[in-house]
Amino acid sequence: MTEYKEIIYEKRRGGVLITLNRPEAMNAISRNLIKELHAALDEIEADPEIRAVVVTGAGRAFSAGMDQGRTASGRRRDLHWPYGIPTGQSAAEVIDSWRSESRNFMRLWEFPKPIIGAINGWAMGAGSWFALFTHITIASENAVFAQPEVRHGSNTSFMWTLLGGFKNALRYGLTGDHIDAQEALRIGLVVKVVPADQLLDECFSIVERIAHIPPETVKINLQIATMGLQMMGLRDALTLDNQLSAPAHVMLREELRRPLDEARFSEGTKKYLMLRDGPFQPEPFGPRSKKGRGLE
Amino acid sequence: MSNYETILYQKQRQGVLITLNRPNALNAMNQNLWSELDQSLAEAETDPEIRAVVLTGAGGAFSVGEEISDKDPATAWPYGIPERSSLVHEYNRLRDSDRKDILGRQIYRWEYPKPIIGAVSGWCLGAASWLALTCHLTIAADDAVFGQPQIRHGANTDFMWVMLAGFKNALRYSLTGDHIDAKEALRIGLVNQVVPKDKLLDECFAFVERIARIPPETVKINLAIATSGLEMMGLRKAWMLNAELAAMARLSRREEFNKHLEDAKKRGGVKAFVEERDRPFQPEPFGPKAKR
Repeated sequence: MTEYKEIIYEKRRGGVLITLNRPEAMNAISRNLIKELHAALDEIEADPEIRAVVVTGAGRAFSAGMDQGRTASGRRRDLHWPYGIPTGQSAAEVIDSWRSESRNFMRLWEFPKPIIGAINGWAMGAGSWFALFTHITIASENAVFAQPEVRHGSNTSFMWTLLGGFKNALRYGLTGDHIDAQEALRIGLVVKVVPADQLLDECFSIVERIAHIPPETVKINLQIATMGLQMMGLRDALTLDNQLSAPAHVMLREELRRPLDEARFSEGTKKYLMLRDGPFQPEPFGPRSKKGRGLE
Repeated sequence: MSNYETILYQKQRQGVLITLNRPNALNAMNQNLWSELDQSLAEAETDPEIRAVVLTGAGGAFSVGEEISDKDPATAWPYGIPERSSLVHEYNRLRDSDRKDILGRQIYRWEYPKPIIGAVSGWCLGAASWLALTCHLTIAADDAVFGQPQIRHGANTDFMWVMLAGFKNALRYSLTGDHIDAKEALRIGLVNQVVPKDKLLDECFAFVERIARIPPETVKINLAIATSGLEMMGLRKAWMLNAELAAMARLSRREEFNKHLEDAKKRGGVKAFVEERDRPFQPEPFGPKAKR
């Protein structure tokens, strides 16, 4: 069995619990985390004792999204204005670097065993996409879903539209606004909301029910949904998504972007987030809403 | 009937001959020409005497493609965009142009309710090749040359090459911008037919006269069976993706590939630019610039 550092792998009740384990970084998705996840999925695929997967996060967050450390901000470190391109790079390179692929998410989507998201807390940006790509998603009452990075030059994901419909997806995807578990349930991102201390039990009850059915039947019925949606155009929509990731990340306006970057590098991430999210307070839902702060 | 500056509009034999008419510039396409082309098509659309459109070029060439400017602003290297501009500005401009102008016009012609027949002689390059290939029929004269050399200086191909020729042929010629002649165009499926140059227009209008013997609504529907059917099968999506990738391609210039071309343009204008760009690719595999 593999040694994991950034995930925890625990078999139980006919399934396996994968815990994203970087609580000091709000389980931000690092290159290593992705590697370990793939290794874990390999292990799960080959283990007939495992009938389904439950994924959750350690600490207060499910996942805060892509690791800001070396990837995103590294690329933005020294943007040369007015061009909005990192010093010494060509537009060609920077655009190319932001064109993405869905290989990682598509592995989850096309996985032969059900993957159940146990959303215990903050699911932000790519962390929200991770949650949305799970086959069944259960939220704790503490869950928050949002894509605040769209506020500084980033794309939303078509999965919000697929699950929430375009009207709800646009309400939250154009602005990056936070939504709580109840709103996520209402618009269709999750199938159930449960108290925090019941989250894992709820998910593993489902795993145990699945385990009563022959694995090949489960696999096929899973694919009726996942492949059917791909037939209907999901793959194409995600392809376009991935191309649009490039313009979303590189079309930066100096007057909006520069103050954020300068704040980050002189005063740190906290200051940067204050500047980015300040104009949007209070959030419509969640701990940063009026209600969440006890102001209502 | 409007007065056109850059095209000729000549009704004949139950159709109309629309001629790209900038022969001094080898019919290079500029905004005026694109706009008048659309206007003339709109005029032909509502004229019941016109049963089909034949599209050709004046002076023996179809068109050398999008006009290359000799007044570009200086490029800031290594960024690859104009000095003092920003990537957001350039990308927005190109993306809007690719999606609304270029694709918008292509779809208008593709979904046109009357057959459009491309009559191609001589040079048919770049965006003009897309214009010719997106016609519902394309007839080539024996001296026709098709190619997309603009990709050599950082620009995109069009999915229509893939749709007509298959990906292997399309990639052979559109990754490199190589020229092909009428015979090769026929072989790979870009054109219906190759005819002697002096028979080109007569061949096209003979087809128009046959079309004219069938009720217009029937022709319109049978045209749509093909064009809408292909859109249903994915052409529209492929073109949408094409439009996104086109903007990126036009921003894919690098100092080590492009600066010397711009220097050539500063020294000797567009002619020098084109020569410098195409020199490493001589001889072409086909056409007037091929080995004897």
